[in-house]
Amino acid sequence: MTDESRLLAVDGVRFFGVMSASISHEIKNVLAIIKENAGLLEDMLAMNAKGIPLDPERLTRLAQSIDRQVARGDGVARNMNRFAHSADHPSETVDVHETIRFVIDLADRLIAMKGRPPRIEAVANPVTAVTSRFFLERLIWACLWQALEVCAPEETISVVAEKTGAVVRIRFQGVAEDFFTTGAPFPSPGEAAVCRMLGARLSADENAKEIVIVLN
Amino acid sequence: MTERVLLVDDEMEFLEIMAERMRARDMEVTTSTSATEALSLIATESYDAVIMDFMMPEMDGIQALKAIKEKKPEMQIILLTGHATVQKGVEAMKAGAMDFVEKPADLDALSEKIKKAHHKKAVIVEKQSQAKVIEMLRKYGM
Repeated sequence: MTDESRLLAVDGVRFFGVMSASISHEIKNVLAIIKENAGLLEDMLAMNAKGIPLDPERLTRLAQSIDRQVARGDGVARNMNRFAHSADHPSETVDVHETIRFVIDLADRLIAMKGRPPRIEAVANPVTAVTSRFFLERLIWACLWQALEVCAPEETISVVAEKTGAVVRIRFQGVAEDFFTTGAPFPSPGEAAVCRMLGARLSADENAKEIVIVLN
Repeated sequence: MTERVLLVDDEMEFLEIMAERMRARDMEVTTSTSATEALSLIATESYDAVIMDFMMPEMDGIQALKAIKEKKPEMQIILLTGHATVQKGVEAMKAGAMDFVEKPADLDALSEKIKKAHHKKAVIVEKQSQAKVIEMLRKYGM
């Protein structure tokens, strides 16, 4: 294995680990709520055995809560599955806008953990590219994370994909001044290796307040 | 005796159901969805135990734990976590957590820990009071 492929493998596994840990935390939260609902049902049955009548309204709310959490867990598991299959093909035709939306959705909990994160909008614009889905997700997350690190809650990060000829640009607009002035180490060596592998380039424009992924 | 508990988790639904079940066990429960809010509640109210999620937005469990311990060293804090690792557990205990419990938690086991917390806090407060009395007696040459 060359140093470059080792760098790429480590970066890829790390990205997979970050996302998987966040997903499993969310599943645990869903399970915790379902378990508490089951416990509450047991408590109600125990009280009923002592002669306290069951409250149908409370039972309905309990069933609704379980329903909601099952739907939430299902959504999380679907995302997990989709993410796991991102690495199935080394190269394929990718709907870039859909991939942006997916990364935002997948990282929902990580974004929420920022406390009061800025608003993120994926501007709908159907663009396709022939690339590695997994590493494109990795690069989108890298740029999004950089933007999240510097943007305030009242700000909006707009992510839009554009295609000019064979060149696809993914623009992260509304990136706060700090990104350009603090000189944070970006991209990391692993992210740079991802760029080389994808044949992509990262650029930052302080005047336009944007980070751009350029896919050739 | 009724235990006063502050339950902190950013999962609203988890908070509501857990609080309802704890109240059914004669506990006095206050809920909070953020560590920041919990910190201001702790500054003004008295609790026997704080049950707090390890992973929360803005301030994580360890940061919150350290901030609480700084304000109220006698406070008994039990951290809840999605994934209990030895490293996290050691970190939490070193920072002064009374216990570290993996989600989904068993409420009966948690209730036992809350009772222990109540007792432990009572012993600490009693010792503090004794120390104050001794200090006063010394001050007046008695």
